[in-house]
Amino acid sequence: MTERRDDDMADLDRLFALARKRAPEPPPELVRRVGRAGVALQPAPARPGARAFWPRLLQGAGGWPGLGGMAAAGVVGLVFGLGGLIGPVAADEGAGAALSLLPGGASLEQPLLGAGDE
Amino acid sequence: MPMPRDSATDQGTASDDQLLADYAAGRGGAAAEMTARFLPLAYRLAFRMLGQAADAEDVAQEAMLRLFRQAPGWQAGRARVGTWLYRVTANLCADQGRRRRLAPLEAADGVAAPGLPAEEALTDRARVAALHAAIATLPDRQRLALVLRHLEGLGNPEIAAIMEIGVEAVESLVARGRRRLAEVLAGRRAELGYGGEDD
Repeated sequence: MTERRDDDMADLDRLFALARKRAPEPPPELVRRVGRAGVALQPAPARPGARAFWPRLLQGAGGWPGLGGMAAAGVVGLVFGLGGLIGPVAADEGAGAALSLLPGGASLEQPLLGAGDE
Repeated sequence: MPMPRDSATDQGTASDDQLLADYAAGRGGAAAEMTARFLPLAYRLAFRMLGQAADAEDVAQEAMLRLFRQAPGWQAGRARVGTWLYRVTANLCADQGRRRRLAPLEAADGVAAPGLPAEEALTDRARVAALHAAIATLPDRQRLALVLRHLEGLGNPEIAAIMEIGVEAVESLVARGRRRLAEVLAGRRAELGYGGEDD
């Protein structure tokens, strides 16, 4: 019984070997069809001299040092810009203040700012 | 072995990863080279799983289209191209199998052994057809594991990766498949020209 099973397995292995030797091959028409589809789907090669957008931009800006300089200038500009916004607000806060120059004279009040214009 | 681990390794040509990179870069001839290298793999598995040339062509073509589309995003070294393609082909076969009932195999078509005498070739063809017909009776997962192991010549770890199961599960599927095949073919030993003296 065991010998018979071993024989069956040996026969099976011979059949596997035969089937590997006689492997099915794709028909020529399928090979042509798939090859054409592959060409149609293939990305276009990069054009000589054509570089990607970002590397070109970086190069135009003077490389990394140039880009660093622009970034630093931007930060400085931002600081000055914010300073310019904050300054007038602080001054405006005092625009409504008045100073009385006469003792007890509530009728004569001089504005603290802009008094020279009148 | 029909499918080397990296199909280019023994040929002194570009590795599979490099070939996909060349294709993605638009190199001329890469599409034809990919077709020559990978289409036979997809077609063999599809034919042996589905048993019909027409279905096998559909599946193999779709698997190749997916490989072409995958090439630009392929990450070298993450997976073996052959493993990926086997998995995609196996999944497509499963889909196809669900849509159609398994049909009788056409094992004799297009697989004539060149150089063999007519009688011998006929016998071989009949033997291979009988084997494929017996394989077709196996449950899907047993059939896939057995085809990958004994007809595609893959190792159990790679089969496990393709089927996304453990190595022990692969061993079990292959062993059960072999036993069942042996049972199916046992009654046809004389017809197949094996063990005639016992019968």
